[in-house]
Amino acid sequence: MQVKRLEKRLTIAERLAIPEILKGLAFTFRIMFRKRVTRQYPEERYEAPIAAKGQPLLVENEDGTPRCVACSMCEVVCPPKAITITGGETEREIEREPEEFRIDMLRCILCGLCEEVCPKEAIVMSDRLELADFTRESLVFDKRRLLTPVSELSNRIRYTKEKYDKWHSPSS
Amino acid sequence: MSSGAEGETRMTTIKVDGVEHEAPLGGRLLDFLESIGKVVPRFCYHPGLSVAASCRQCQVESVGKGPRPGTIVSCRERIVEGMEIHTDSEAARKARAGVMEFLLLNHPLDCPICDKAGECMLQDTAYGTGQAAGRTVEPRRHLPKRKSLGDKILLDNERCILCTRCVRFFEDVCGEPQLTVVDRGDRSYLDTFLGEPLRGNYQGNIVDICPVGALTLKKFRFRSRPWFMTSTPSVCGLCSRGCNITIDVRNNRILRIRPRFHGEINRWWMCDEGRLDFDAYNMQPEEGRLAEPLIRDGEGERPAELSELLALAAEFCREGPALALLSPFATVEEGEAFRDCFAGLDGARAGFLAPGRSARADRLLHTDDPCPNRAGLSRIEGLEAVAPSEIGDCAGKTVFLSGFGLDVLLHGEARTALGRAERLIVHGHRRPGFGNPALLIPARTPAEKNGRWVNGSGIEQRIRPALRAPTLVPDDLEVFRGLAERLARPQEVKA
Amino acid sequence: MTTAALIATLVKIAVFFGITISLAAVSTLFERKISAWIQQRYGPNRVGPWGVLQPLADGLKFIFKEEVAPAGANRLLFRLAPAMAAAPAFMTVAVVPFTFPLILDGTRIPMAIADIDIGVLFFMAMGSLAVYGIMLGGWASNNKYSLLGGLRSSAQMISYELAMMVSVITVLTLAGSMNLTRIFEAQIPLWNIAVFPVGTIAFGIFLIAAFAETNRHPFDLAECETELVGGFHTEYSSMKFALFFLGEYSAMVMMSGLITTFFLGGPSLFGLVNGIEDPWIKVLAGLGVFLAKVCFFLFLFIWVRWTIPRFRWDQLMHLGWKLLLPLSLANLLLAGTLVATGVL
Repeated sequence: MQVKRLEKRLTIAERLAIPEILKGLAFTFRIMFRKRVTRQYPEERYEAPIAAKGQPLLVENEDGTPRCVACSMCEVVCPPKAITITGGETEREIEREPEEFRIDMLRCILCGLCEEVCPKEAIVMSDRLELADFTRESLVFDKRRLLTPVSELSNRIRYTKEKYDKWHSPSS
Repeated sequence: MSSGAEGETRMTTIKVDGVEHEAPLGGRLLDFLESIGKVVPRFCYHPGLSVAASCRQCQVESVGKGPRPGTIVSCRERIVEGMEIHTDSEAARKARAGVMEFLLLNHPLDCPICDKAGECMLQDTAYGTGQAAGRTVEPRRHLPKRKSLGDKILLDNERCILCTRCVRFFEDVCGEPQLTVVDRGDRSYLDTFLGEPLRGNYQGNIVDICPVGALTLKKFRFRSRPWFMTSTPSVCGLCSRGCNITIDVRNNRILRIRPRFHGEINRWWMCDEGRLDFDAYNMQPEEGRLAEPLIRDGEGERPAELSELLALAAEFCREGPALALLSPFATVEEGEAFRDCFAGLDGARAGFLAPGRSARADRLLHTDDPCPNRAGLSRIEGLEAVAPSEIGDCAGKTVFLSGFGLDVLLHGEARTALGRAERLIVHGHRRPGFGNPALLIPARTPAEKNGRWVNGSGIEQRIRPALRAPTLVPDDLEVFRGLAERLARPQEVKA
Repeated sequence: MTTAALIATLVKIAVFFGITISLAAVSTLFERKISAWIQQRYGPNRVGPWGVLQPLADGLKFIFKEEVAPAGANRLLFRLAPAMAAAPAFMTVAVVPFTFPLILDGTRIPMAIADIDIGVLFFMAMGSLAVYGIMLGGWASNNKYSLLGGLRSSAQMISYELAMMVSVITVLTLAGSMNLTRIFEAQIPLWNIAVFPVGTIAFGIFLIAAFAETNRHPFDLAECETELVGGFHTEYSSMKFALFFLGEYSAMVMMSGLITTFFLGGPSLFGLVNGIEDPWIKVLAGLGVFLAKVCFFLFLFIWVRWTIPRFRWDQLMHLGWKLLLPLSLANLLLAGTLVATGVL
């Protein structure tokens, strides 16, 4: 390999290193009085941007019914197999809904594939990023804990509609 | 369809996609195209039914001699000399895409809800043909979506593409028409005669042959997506017909049973009894399944090692006059091992239960024999067929009842007689419901074991395990071999 | 020894030792605070107001941590090493004069725990002992990183000890005594750092060697994390680790105290404190001045650590043997000549 050497002679002062050390010390001393950049986390919360992928949640319609129809697309696409769905029949016009819908947040890798694949916009990634807890059991979320009113998730639903171009028309 | 019973079939040479093939003269074009590996989509054509040629999805282009130039419906066409067929030409593809678009005009977009998704012919073909979106803006046709056709089947009229497979099934196979297409043109829809619920023991088959999700089985609805299930080929055990079946399992539970083609036994069909009566196989320990060896201990029972139970069973059998009764659900291998157990034992009577004929026989599949392996066990020398009336008085005797299903086949007097036994040893998948068993050895169900069954017409077939047995349930063969060993060498058992 | 003298000694031990340990503890807090500031962070600010209770929290944590000894470790030496590393630093406290002698009713009470005439020798002896703790800790851990750290540390401390001691001898030449109280008293008119060129050069050499002796950046090759995980204390946990930690910071405090005594006139401040009439006020003011100087050096230690990157091993040896040692010897020769000829 061709190496080009820069023949730069150091000056006496540079070779002594003491002036350089003093320069460095002066620099760090100045920095000590600059404004701090650390976010004081529990007091100053992180406002997740709309693109952030937090815990996946199920969308609950205005009338309190789940939007999910238990089609199992998310279950089959989920890379770490965090989702378990048991389908069930309802008396509503959309005859199918999840009897049980479980997301094991210990397994979930927040990849967002479930959201992308969902044909009903029924599962979306929320802005919930604080996912620690004390027991394993409490981190397996069931349907009751996953269902979230649509009003809280509408921003993300709008965003994904645009992002994944889910209902694109053939002309576009 | 084996139309050629008249000795040998004459062959001819036809051209398919530019390549020459030897084809049976007069054979069905669609069957032939399939046999040489061409993919021809179809909805209404089913090899077990008469030809309706109503869906027009199997169109191919004919350019040579024969029917007429242009697109032809390959399910209806017979092979003639000098035929030249293009399966993938522009015209053929255009014709099929057009049909597809018409079929999808009013088909609801509810694949996520539909139970058929994943094994739906319409879905597969739509993906294959590749038209991503419809061109219509008009509202879709709305029809009753959840219409109960009796206690087994549910009909969704919106999804129906009017292929009439189900209609023809009742006409051609059952010989008793029950379904029909009502009204005409774009208003036509499927319904039963006079809105009566469906009758008969063969309704489930219309769910299998339905190319879309219009007909669904109430028992299976929404239980699982087909791609999550593991399918095991096996044989139905509910009568001596020995229908070939596929067992679909998820999380070690049977969710549904489908017929599997066997030309000489059941063809494409099976009865609803075999299709829906799998709850006994799914029985869990908390529901009464015998999941561990138990010994009667005073009033109660205590769990014990299998070896301890076998040693005790051997001792009991040696002490008194013994009657050993095997279930007719047992496989041939088990029958032989069972006979070997008691072969050298003085005064022992070993046989399999041979119940009387039932009144369940019909002219299609179901036989009057409730035992799946009566023929196989009858062939075994040294194993006598014991009818329930021949059991006799069991007072003072040791009785060994073995195998899945024995308790179901025993009724009334036989139960009372067996209940009087001095010592009752039960080897079964659950408690017998009579007598007071001294020993309870857990047994496997036919869905949990390997082996051979011989059906009523003498065809030997293999059953395969679709489920995992509970951990402490030994294989039935292991029980028989262990017992045989202990009966043959009593000294070692004592030590 | 009279009872009064005994009581005075006990009080001095309590006060000076207490001051040393407290300073060591506070400097752990400041180490983290200053490093944070230099990196535009806040540093510990959760335990107590402004994080002042952080050293206490650290101590508590160390107490409750599990003690782990690696398999194959020499158990006796493994346990002994932290004590041997911390003890020399604590013992050096004995000879450092924290302030002016207290003169009460004509009795002169020197403000060092042991105002011995061979104080400098005592300090040198203790400095040489410090290497044992680190070396034994590294060897007894049965870990290659620990061993390498211990080896490096001993080589480095021996190398820099030479230059350091020669520069101390220069100071002795100037002061004419090995009693540390006498040494700072001799500087009341003029601090050694200002005695140009010999005092200044000796100060420079001593300061550099002090960094090396305390295993501080830029000479912390004994524990350099990027190469040796944690160096000699890789395998140490709980209070054993805390002892190493405390020893290191106590050594820093002591080094700062000695630099102050040798070169910055100890508690004196341009004759201002010296002139105070009231003996108690004089002693307290002297203590204040002394501690202020010590704190400045502690700050310097920390400040340098977060500014200058670590030396390479060969550069370290090169600097010690080929530069500092000849320079200090030449400086000593010059000082001797100047003193002998009466110039100084």
